[in-house]
Amino acid sequence: VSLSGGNQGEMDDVVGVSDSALDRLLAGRAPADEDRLGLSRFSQDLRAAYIAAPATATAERHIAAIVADAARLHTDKTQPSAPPALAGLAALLPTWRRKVVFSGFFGSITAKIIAGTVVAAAATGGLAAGNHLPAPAQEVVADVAGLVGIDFPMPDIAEVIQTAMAPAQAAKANELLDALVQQVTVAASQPHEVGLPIAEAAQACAAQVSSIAGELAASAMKLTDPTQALSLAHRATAIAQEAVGCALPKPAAATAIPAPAGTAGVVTSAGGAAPIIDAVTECVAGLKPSIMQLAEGAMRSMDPSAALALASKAGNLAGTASKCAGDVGTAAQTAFALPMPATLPGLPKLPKAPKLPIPMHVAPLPAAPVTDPAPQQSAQPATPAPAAPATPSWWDAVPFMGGGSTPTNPAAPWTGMTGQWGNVGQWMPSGPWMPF
Amino acid sequence: VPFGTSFPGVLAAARQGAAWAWTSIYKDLSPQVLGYLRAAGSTDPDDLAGEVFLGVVRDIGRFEGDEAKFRSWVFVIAHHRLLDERRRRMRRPEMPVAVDSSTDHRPGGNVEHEALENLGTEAVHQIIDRCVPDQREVLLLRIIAELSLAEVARVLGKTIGAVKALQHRGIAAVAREMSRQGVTR
Repeated sequence: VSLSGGNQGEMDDVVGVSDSALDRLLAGRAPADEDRLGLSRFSQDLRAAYIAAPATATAERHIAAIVADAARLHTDKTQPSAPPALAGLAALLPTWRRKVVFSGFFGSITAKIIAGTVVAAAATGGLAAGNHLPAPAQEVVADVAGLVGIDFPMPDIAEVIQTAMAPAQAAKANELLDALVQQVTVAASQPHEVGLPIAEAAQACAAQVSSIAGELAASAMKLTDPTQALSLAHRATAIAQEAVGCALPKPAAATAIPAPAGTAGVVTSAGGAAPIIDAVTECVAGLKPSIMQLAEGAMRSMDPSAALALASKAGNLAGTASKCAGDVGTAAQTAFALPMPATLPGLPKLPKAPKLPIPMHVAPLPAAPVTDPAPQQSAQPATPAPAAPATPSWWDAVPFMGGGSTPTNPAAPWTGMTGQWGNVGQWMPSGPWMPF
Repeated sequence: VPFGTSFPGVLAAARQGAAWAWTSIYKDLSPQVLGYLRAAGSTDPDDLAGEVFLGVVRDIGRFEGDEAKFRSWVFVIAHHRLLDERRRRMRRPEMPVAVDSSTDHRPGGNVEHEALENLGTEAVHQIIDRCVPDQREVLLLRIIAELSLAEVARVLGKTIGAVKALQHRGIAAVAREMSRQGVTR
């Protein structure tokens, strides 16, 4: 008898079995009268002997490596090159910070937070594993989760409606926002050296975020189209995330950019970061309720009135994000004793507003005129500036960029600060388009 | 448990680097991948399984297909890693390492049950070990990975006819060994 050839009689036994019967036998699902060779039971025993989940420690180690690799690869893949208009600002930012500002929000924030919190969060994120959210809700919850480091499928691939997930997901977002604050606190508390250019770049980041958030908030009013409302909610959560991200300091290992001679703004101890930490803590505390409301509101049916309510909630969130970014910028000024800038250095060209018939304005206009690096393309007149506050900070000098009184196109895709508005109101990303 | 209708969502999220998606994929497939590597004689199945999934992460951008194709694709990677390990072992022979009982995560508690189970495992191991390597690969992929003939053919880079022949001979060898051991079912 040859093992490689088999015994002819046994081979005949096998040959006599149909393919479908063999499939059942090998799957261990054959009825007893079909299992003349005992193959079905053997298959069951073989599975029982070898198939088992990895040990817990092994699984955790594997998952951590897999998740980190996946996040790194995704971030690398989605990292667009900064357009020329952004080059000045980009050069001022640490590399890791540049990724946050100039790439798709989702990938970058996932990569940033992943090391600390995502693995545990993913283990409990079973709702999204099944893609168990209604399509519109999936999109918004994806953003809420993206804010705190979890990604969810986008709504075009959602299949099962399960609205009961909203409270649980809101609670999870709540917990992980706290984790984000903790991460910022730990990072900011590390010994670091921040030169004036870095601090100014942080200010510029905050200025951009606030400006865009202001436009989003302005877009929210009277918006009754569900798609546009969801798009707005989508972007509001992303900009809220970025408002927090502006505050993360440069890591100690990186080489500091020295402050120019005769300027203030070099901080070499952890103490200088305290105002920023405080600002972020307050910032997140302010964002939480809006995010929770947005997530829960998006779970409901999306008729025009619900869309209006959702848009309103998104507007509130964007407004809170705008204030949040402003507070972070002010904290940067306080922490680094920066002078009041006459003009903000290296500000990139901001999105020009499309010509939509929704004239609204919520953000405060500057007390003093500041150079707008973007050529005006809108024919709409600027809204008159309000009176300057009694105690002006640098933040009050930040213009409501892009014309100030005109909203962005809520239905347009958003790529972060990597493109510009075209002449007919379309958003033109400068890098490869990656939905987040 | 197969993903079923949620698979496209999981795959899309995994492509975007979503942690939950990768965790789900790992939890779903790792028992079978690890089982296949163990049964196929990997010297370090745990580490090799980790390599397999990292390979999946790196190449997922090139994958196209449904869940069944995805599963077989993962086993293509597992099979290739296994071959790599065997080649490494041939170049640098190592002393076999005894299985570390501390890493055995199977549920315990009932000594008699465990003894019986171990006997069963040993018997199963002896039976499958009587097959020649090609037959064993086919049976392991059919039984542990639960792949179809066509999928096994894809994993092994053989024709379906060749896989079918190996399967028949493997089953015959198994039946013969079971008969020799007096295994009655």
